[in-house]
Amino acid sequence: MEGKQELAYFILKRIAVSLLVILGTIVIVFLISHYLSRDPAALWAGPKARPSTIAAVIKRYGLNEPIWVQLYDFIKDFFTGNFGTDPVTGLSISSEVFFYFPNTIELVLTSLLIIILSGVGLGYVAAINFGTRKDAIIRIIYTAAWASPTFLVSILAVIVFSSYLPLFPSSGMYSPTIIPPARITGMFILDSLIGLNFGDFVDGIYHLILPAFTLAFLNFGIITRISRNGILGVKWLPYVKSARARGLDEKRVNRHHILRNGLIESNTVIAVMFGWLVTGDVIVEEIFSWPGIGKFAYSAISGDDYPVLIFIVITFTILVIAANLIADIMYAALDPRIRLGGSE
Amino acid sequence: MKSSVIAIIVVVIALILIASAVGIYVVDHNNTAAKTTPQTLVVEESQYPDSLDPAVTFTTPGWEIMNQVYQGLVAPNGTSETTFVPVLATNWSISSNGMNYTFYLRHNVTFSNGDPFNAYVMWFSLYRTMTMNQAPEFILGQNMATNNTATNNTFNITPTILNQINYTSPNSTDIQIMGNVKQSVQVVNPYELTIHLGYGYNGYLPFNQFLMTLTTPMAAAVDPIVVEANGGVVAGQTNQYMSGNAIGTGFYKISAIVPSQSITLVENQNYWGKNLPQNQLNDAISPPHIKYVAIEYKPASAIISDLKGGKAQIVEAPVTDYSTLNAIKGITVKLLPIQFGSSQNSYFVYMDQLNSSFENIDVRMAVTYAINYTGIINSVYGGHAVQWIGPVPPGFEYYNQTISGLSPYNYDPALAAQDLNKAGYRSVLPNQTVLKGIRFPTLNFLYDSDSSSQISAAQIIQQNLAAIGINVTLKGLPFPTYTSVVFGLASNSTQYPIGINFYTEDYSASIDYVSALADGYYNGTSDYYNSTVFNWSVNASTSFNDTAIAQNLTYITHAMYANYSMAWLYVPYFMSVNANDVTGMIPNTAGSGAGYFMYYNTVQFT
Amino acid sequence: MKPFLRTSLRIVLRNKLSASGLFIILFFASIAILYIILGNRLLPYNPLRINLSDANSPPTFSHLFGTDQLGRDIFSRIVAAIPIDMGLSIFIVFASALLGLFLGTIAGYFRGIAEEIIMRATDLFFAFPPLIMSMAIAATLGPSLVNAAFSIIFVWWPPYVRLVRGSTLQVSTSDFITMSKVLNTKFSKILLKGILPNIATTLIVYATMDIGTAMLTLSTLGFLGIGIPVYQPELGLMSSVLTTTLYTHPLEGLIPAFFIFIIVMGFSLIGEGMAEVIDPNIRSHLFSRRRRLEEMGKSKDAEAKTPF
Repeated sequence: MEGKQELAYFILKRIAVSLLVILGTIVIVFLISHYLSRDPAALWAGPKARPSTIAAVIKRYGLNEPIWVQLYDFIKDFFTGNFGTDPVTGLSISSEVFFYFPNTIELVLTSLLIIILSGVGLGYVAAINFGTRKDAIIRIIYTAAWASPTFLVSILAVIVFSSYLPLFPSSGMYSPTIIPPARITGMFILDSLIGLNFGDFVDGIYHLILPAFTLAFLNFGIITRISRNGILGVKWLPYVKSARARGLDEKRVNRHHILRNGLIESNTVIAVMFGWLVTGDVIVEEIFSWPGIGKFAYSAISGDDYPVLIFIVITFTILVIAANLIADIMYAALDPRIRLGGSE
Repeated sequence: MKSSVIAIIVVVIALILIASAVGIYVVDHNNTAAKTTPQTLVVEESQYPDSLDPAVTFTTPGWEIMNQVYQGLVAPNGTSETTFVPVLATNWSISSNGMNYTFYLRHNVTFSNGDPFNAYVMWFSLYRTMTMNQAPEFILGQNMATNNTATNNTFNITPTILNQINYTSPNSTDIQIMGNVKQSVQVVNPYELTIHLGYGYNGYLPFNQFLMTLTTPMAAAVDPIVVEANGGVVAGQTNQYMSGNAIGTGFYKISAIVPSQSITLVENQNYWGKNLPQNQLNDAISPPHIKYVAIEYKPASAIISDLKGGKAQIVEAPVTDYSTLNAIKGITVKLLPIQFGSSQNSYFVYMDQLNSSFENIDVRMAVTYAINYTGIINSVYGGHAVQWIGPVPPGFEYYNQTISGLSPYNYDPALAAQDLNKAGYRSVLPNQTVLKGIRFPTLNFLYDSDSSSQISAAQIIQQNLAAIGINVTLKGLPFPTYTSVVFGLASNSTQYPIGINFYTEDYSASIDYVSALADGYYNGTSDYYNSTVFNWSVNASTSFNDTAIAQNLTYITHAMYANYSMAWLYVPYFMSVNANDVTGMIPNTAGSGAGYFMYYNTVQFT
Repeated sequence: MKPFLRTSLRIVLRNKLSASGLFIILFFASIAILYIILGNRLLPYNPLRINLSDANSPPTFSHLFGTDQLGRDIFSRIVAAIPIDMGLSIFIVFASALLGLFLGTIAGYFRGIAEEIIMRATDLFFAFPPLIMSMAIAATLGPSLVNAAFSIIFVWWPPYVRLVRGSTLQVSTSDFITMSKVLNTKFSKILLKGILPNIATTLIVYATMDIGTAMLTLSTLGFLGIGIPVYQPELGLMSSVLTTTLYTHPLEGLIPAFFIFIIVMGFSLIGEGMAEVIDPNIRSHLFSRRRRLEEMGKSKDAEAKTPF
């Protein structure tokens, strides 16, 4: 029972610390954006705005108040769920972000799935064939994929798979003419499944394939390498040897122990990568016109729309911290050595 | 991980893949089927609308949606910018002094949700736009206002009044307020509306382009019941619901919105124009031929790819893609008459005469003659642009009269160097001889960093200026920041005494350009003009005599030309691009559909 | 440690992957250094020189890679861009590593409150979405190479703190350090002689790989037109024409993008090879396999030699 208590204590401590970090993030992001954006009122009022319109914008968003007052108002609003109005589009920020975010999650989760499957699988194949040509080829491929600039691969993907070989749509999340399913999770594919709307489901997958594979192709290298290294390491660990000595079937030893330990190594990185992918897909979303949070952030940056930017950065941060938290907990759950003290 | 778990995962994925493969086949099959009985027009462009509220939106893609979903009193007649056809008004008359416009409204008009339209609704819509006071409000605000409390105090339409009136069956107090003759908008009876000019920024003066301002979304009929159910009217503020939804009287209504990706329009089944007899219809109000219009917003490379693949019928593309698009089979690519280019972008280099460097006319002459106009036109636009002399844009009314006797500034670096030296500065002749003098200070040169053509043009101009001895530091700003600086609204506008600016129309009239450019609303342009120029532009906007208008505009053009106030650059052509299986597009500079035509109702598949 | 370095270098060079990576990097580095020393004299054309009459031309003998929209020679611009991209990326990683070294050793050695504060601050900066924060900061600060570098360093340093702290922790428990503590040696001496040599290898391996990532981020900023002055030869900025000239002059954008790929590939290959050396699992695997092969070879020879 002691192990469980320690685990619980560990989890609580990590959660408390994470909350503190989130609060710190909010303060820092807010201050940075206010410092960096000196004269947003004229931008938000729109092109050719009259001075009276600009004055109204300043009044509405309290832009003339001292920074501490604005920060206090912001934190108060944030924790009461009032995320304000997007000054550029006039829509409520929460509605916009809650529209765009699940779309990115859908894209990233699908890519992550492809990455895990292919990465662990290829890592396994590479490790088994250590030192041979197969191993080298796999390593060259994933190094090359990882070294490719995102925009290059995305544009090439569009040219090859959408223009020359008209297999997939060049952009978008689903056809504009279909009727979308009821929004439950916000993720189009999931919602179509839940609503048993297979036409929409297929349309969504059809649009998802190219961007998801592009994102996966660019990022599968890290997982492959880690799983490969993890498996190679594990092969020689004493308990694997002892399992062999006990006469366990070679194949079962391979799959069971090696994969599990390969996965441990990968799983922390996966959690971290999740946060990394979500932000790294700005270019993919831009080129595939995927209505996700990356594209939205880019347009917010160009439009000096800092209320939106603050909200996006904070949401990301919360997500990454949450992902790290989960990774830490999983790590602790899988590996008893971590729980029993001694930090990373 | 148990082997059985892996097996399950693999099986699930295989099932999904098989389902997708089947689905893709089915979807493709449907697509080809759709082609034989076309129900959907696919339009593709790059910029997403800024807002769906007709009182707020100020971009071409925004107005594109507005023109299909909302309607106003009148519309431009086909391709004309000077004559108008009835839409929500069947008939109108103008008083002899040009100050009062009376409109007789159409009966039996409803919004797409069934709500009624009448003069009260129009009264509400116009005052709503002015109360919200967003950026495009001035289009109405030139001639109308919500109150005159500062002068005679005969009317004061407050948001409270707007929000409390029942527009379907108003009570006697409401009718009294709306019927007051001493206000901008007066309801004479439920189907008669009179607009009294003179309460706006222009003062008590007529405005010969007033009807054109009424064709803009600012003057569209908005459903008060919808507005009141979603936050009402608030002074100086946008409305969250109206920014993301549009309920109008138009022939299309919104079917689906995927923010930043696409907006789909569907034929309005309750459209009032469906039951009109043929002789009462015109191109602005006839019911649509095509049931769905899917407008997709994607980057240029994806647009070209879709055009090639036959997935899009009408696209908007920059004129720099002219040769690429021309090479695609089954596509018609046309350079529209130059006024379409003018309505989109008329470029010039501005010089702030309040900045000591540009006070001297010789310096301005030097800058003007140093620029390689044809070089920029050829390398940046592939030759598809025309040099112009402003402020009246090429192709617009009166342009030819205003420029008679003048020729566009020419590229003469020798003359430029001499003029620069005359002002006392060190300059360099084309043969590398140095004319002694003090060094010209290094200034910031502003341009829009979101525009690839401006990026190239700015670099070329920088090199042109450096060749005669003027060194500028290129300062590119993203479009929103750039516009706030060029409008002199940002606090640091004086840091950019020179740069590229462009004019794009607010409404299709020469005076729109002239009042902005000549009367100095832009950064650095306000310093040369004086009461004489101002009087000329007032005359040009209030007179109903063609000769007088042309005369006054000519005075302005010649004054600016001799003053070297702006180095007029070029107007790029605007391209219309459509697949050969669609027809019926009616080009009008007031339009915004894929940039150049007003309404999608006339489009049909061949 | 020295024999370790020698063996590692040997392994890196013998491993074809990392050797080719090293070769690529040395090749481009020498081009960069040559350009820094000789300047534009090295090039056939001035990379900033606009020549409108010859714009958008495909590769010819006079212009090896063609010209861009303003008639500038792409080959010259690429050579001029290489030191910028490589140098700036190395600078970014170097600055981040330095910051990470400083904070990480303090955290790992002194523990306690200092460690808590430093690690929480690191968590905070680590949680920022890297590309978006860099974009936002660079966009607002304005286009200049210094701003671009700063905006990336802002989100780049946290992994180094973690790395250094982790290694410092491991090393701190060693006998050497404990003895030094007992003997009251100065911290700076412990740092230099005890801690640094042991974390140096991990740090160097990670940093080498990281230079490639930094370059990808830098060129992404350039591609989006953020943070890089518009006339600056920079590989990402030069590739940004891809979106518009894709169907007309694709090479204009593809060639700079390809160079980004090659250079980053070089760094990644080196990293691949070095990581293999560093990871003890693999090293033992490597060494033991070779031993096995040698032993097999010996026994075969022995068999062959035994007279029959």
